[in-house]
Amino acid sequence: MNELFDKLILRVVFALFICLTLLAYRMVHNLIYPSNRTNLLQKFYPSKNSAESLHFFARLVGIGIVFSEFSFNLDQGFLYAVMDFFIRAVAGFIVYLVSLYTVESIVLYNFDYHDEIVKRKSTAFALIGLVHALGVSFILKIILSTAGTSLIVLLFLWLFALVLIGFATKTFPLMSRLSFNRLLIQRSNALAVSYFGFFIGWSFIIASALNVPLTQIKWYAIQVVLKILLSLIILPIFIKGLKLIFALNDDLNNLVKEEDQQDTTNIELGYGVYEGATFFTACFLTIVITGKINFSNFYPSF
Amino acid sequence: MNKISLYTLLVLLFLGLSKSFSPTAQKTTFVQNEQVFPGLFTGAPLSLVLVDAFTAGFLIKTYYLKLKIVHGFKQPEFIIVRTNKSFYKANQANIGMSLFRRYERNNQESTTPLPPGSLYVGDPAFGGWKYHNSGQRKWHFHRVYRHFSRQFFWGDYQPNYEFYEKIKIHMKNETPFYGLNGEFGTEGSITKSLYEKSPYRVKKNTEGFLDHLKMYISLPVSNNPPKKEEVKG
Repeated sequence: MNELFDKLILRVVFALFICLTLLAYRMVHNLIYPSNRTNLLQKFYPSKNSAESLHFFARLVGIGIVFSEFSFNLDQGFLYAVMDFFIRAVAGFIVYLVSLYTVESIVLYNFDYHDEIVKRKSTAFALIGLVHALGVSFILKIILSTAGTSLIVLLFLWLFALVLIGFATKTFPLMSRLSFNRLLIQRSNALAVSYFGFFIGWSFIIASALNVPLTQIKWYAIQVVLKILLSLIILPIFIKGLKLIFALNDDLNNLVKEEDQQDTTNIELGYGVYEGATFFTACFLTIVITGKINFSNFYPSF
Repeated sequence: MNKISLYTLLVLLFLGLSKSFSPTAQKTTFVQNEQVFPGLFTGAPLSLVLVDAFTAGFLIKTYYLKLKIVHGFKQPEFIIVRTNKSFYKANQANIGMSLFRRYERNNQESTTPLPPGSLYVGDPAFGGWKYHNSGQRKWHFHRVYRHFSRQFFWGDYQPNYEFYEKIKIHMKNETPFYGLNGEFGTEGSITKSLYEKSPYRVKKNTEGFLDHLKMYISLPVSNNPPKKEEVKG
């Protein structure tokens, strides 16, 4: 009975902590975006600005994902368990916020939150914010579980993951035929959906690559880089395979001609869904291949 | 064309990095032929016995030799080395044989495949000849070296003087010697169990195709039937 009560208390502490984190996020949100009119004491009306609601709640879901693989180590007693949890959770929360800030600084350096969300109510911008929150939190969840209790290892893994995310986001022009900046200014949902598939796909690949047991930092980094390289080899096979098998026709040029447009800035949502879905499916199938495959003892290691 | 070049480069980069950082490739010494042994293994007296020879890989094979280093005065060691196809093939019949020996007295070295323990047979520092009722002279290790017969997988085998004479002849002629009745080597009656019990050996599939498919429709069979109490519970 005692241990059941202990576990219940820990769960309540966990729930309270997450609520506290959400409150902290609201404060930080106002600090990061000071031009935003809403402040800590003002009421928030989600129905008035769906883009803002989407952007805000994505962040909260992200916090939940980051904390979804937490563990309590009760070996040294209840108080130590709570203290350890508190330190790791605060570190996780800070890392989550800084990661989001960094990724958005890399990707959305031309855009301002206040202009896009508050003034223009851009759903495309909100969707991109949503995918950043989801993708980053998936990766951080893996990092937190791999780093264990060491904050130094967490710092190393986090910086390493940020570099990988940074490189990944820069490949969007290679993977997509849509112009990111021009279409985002036009609040194109096609671009947002395409980017959604692109970023979440990359996040899955990076998270899968980072999900390797850490014994030595050097070997860990080598294994992660090798897994990313392997993914880069497998990914085009699936992209080409999907397009060939299902006869997916890249009709961007036809769409542009039919609608008598000079450029590709006004694209149907369908094209964005096609690009995003193809890339995400290919990424997901890639992580199945690059994941741990059991070859039994066919390849002995000594 | 650029995409194909980039993709090829990516594949080569992956293979190169994997190979460079592979723990197996890093730890495993490459042995091109028997000429490498003297430089690779130091100390005397020393005998290098081939314990196992196996391959890994499906399309591209890697060849391995498992060697037992039997030192005169310290514990034996096992080492797995990579080798090329020709050296692997050349030694396929030599499992259980001594591939390299270095004598203590004059540091003489020999790479002729001979039965394990040939290094010590006939050396009065390690044992002596005793007459048996059959009239044959047989080799006995001194008490402190009696573990050698186990280290060299001899079992109950005791070399006779003729065996010793043959060793000397084969060593001089540099031709392999598998025992008076072919007792040593992969097919030898004394050492064939080494190959048969090899954990690395890929067993040939003797079951038929239909028997193999039966596996998918069979139910697990328990060897220990549940006790009556368990069934009741």
